[in-house]
Amino acid sequence: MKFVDEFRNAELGAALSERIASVVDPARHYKIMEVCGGHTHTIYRYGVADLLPPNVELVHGPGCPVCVIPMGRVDDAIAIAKQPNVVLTCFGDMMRVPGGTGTLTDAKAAGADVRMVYSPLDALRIAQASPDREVVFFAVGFETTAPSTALTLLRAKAEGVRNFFVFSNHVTIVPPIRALLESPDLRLDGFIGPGHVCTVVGARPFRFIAADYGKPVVISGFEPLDVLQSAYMILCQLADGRCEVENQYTRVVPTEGNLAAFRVLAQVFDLRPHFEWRGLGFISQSALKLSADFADFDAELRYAVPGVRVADPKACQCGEVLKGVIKPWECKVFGTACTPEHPIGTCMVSSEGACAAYYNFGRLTRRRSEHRVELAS
Amino acid sequence: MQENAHRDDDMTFCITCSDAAESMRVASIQADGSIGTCLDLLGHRSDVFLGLISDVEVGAEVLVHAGVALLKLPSEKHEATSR
Repeated sequence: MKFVDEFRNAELGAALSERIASVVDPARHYKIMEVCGGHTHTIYRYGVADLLPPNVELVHGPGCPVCVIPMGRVDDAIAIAKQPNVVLTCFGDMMRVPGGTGTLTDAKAAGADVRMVYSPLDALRIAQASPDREVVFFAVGFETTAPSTALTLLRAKAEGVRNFFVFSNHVTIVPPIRALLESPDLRLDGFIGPGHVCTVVGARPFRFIAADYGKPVVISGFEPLDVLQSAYMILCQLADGRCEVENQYTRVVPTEGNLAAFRVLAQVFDLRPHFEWRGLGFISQSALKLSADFADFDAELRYAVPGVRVADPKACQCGEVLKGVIKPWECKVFGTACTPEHPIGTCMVSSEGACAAYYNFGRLTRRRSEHRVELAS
Repeated sequence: MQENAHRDDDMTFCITCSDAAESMRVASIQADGSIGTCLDLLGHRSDVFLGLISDVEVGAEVLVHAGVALLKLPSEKHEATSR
């Protein structure tokens, strides 16, 4: 398939792997963070890490929209779903994310009307088809999904829909990156930037990483050779002593973002003063709430949500995984108590989550490499 | 919306957090231009917001995220899978 086969070509991958090996300093250990969960998935699915020298480590970042939702917000959604006459709609993965009192799937089994949708527009259509019900959309996601929620709300307002509400958990990608850069327990050498977020926000918001922190950033596509080439571009920058924002994904991402998307986001949303991220704690101005003009659609104003902060289960180490401090398999419950079928933590729910991606694709590779080490010793 | 349920050919990547983008072809556009019916690579239909991109016409390829077209793709890139 055009534009797919080329970016999964094994010979090109091997050649790129050799070029990467030629630019790395064998005496140095490199840590490169892929911010986006889509990249994490690609890395494990295609074994990209195996094509890198052993001293180049890929660290998985907080860019999976499902993984970063704290348990308290899931409990809030469950509380809304249990209100009389409410239909709670959400993306499918959110139904399986555990809160302190279970999942939305559990709430559905107990009688709540919880439905999976593929876009906020689907949720609006349910509201229009069921005028006697109150339909709430559990909105999650970064700058890639927030415009969809914003356009849906603009449409709901224009069409005078009164029974549609949004429980906004939209987050923005730049503040957590800054938080990670400030984190004392994590030393990173560069970032693989989120390709599709940049179709909305452009490359400009990432310039501070190079300017203020002296780290290279390469905006990357999502095929295996995209990720490999981005790692190569970062390592070249490090070898040359440069730190810039480069765009590997030029076939899709323009340098400037989508100004129309910015406008609708500004129209519908305000920044929250602070928002809790799973594993990262509270980060200021890192999430979006509905603006005063859309207060009539705000589920947080419409319903009494508990708003209680819920601590993660002690056994769960999603926080450390999200910060890249530990690898998924280093978590105490990985693959035993916590599996994609029965997730304890969010990272095991979405296939963009580092734990689920590693569980599905990475385990055998690691066993092989351990076996090789044993044989060698 | 049920048509989307089998989009993922081998069930190995996430479709349900809608954080996966896909390229789609515009099949028809509503009179006000705000929403179009788009086809994915397998021919499944979805309603997609088109308001964030300009000069969209029937037959154009667009990058769609959670039911909104974020970008107009050059036509030869329709077959690119993107996440």
